[in-house]
Amino acid sequence: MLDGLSLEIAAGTSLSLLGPNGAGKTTLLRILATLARPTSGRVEVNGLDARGRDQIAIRARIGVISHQTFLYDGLTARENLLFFARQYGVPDARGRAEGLLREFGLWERRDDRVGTFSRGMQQRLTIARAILHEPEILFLDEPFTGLDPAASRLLRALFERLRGSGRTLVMTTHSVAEGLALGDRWAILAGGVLADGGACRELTPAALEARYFEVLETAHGSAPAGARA
Amino acid sequence: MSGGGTSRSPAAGGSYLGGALRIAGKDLRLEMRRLTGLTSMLVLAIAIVLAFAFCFGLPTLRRLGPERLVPGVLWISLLFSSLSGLRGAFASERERETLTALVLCPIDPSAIYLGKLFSNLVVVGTLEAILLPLTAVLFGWDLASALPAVALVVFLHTLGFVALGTLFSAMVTRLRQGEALLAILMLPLSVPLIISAGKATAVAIALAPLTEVRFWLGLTAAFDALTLAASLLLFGFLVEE
Repeated sequence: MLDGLSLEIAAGTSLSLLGPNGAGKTTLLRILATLARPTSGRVEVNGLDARGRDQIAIRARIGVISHQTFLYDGLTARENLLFFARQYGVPDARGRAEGLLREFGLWERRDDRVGTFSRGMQQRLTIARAILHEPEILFLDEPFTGLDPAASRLLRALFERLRGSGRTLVMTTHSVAEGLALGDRWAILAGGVLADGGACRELTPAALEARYFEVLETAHGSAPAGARA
Repeated sequence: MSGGGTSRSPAAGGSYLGGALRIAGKDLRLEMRRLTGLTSMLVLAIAIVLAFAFCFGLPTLRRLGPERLVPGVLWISLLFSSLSGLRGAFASERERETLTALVLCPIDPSAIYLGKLFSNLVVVGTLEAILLPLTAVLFGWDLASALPAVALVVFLHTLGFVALGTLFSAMVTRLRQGEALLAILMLPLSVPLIISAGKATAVAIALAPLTEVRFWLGLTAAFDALTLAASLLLFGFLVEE
């Protein structure tokens, strides 16, 4: 649950949302992505009202990546991308889908069903699906969850590339080091409130980790069990 | 919050009807590859029809005539077998959270409902295309002569039943006991439809004019229109948290 949260994310920046389980990170992301409706308050994405009539216009401008693939296992890689490209009204959907399959190293497996792909390949296709319509804003909900080291490294490289393309990125993560490495700015959510935030370049991973646990101790009286593990 | 600079987002998504048809096409393609839904529906429906046919036997059939027996057999088998198919309409979208991906597309969420309705109608229609000749052979009624009237009656009642089932399938898909709940919700609300289907099918099979069941057909058309309108209006709320 979120309470009294006020947050502004500037265009082209990459924000890492840190916080323990139940802090409200995913809820915030789902509200920003128009998947959930807040009970009160105002939410604007690109100046559009995320709570009402502008939802469809917002959806055309955002992409969402989660630890779930959002892909149909029974369809091939090409069929998945073509289906979503057409749903988004992408001009030359076939060309765009095939271009992305080449770009993400999946061209050789384009006509294989996604259910036969490794986790890393599925994650690459997930990212390709999310950027099919060239969204201005990308929401990433704990995208590294369940990935093996090789797939994590690949995703990190892709994340850096997306950052370089001038998109606005909002990523939730449990990992302080990951948040600091991949973000321009960081924010800590604890107990549904925005507890702290700042620029990533101003802190070392050790300093941010210290701040993180300090915030959690203030919010909960003590750090959650196993939080330092 | 604000978006970045170099990207190019479309102002709007694909068309509403196009979006619905693509969802239906995608569902049918997946169904053709798996065949699990249609196969289980067919097996159940054929088993019910065969059980009734052999239980009644020829003497009962000769005494009562097909117009007294076939409507009940046909609609019981269709009702129970399509319930099992309707359950899967949204359950499959939960597997990889693809329902969230569909909601995120810039098309009104009711297009998802419409797409699911189209694909469910095709699947149940396929089932009916197999069951009607089967009952004609087993119970000895003249399918060729009765076809236009029977097709109209079956379509009208199937539309209402599938429209209701698609909506309830979306409602119960997040629930742990969703499958049981679908039958509990569906069957009482389908009672007017079942009564009407029985009466109208009997008239159609007897080759009598459908004007004899004008009231029931009107009631079913109203039921269909109301269910469709309510479903299209409510669906957006069902998929939002």
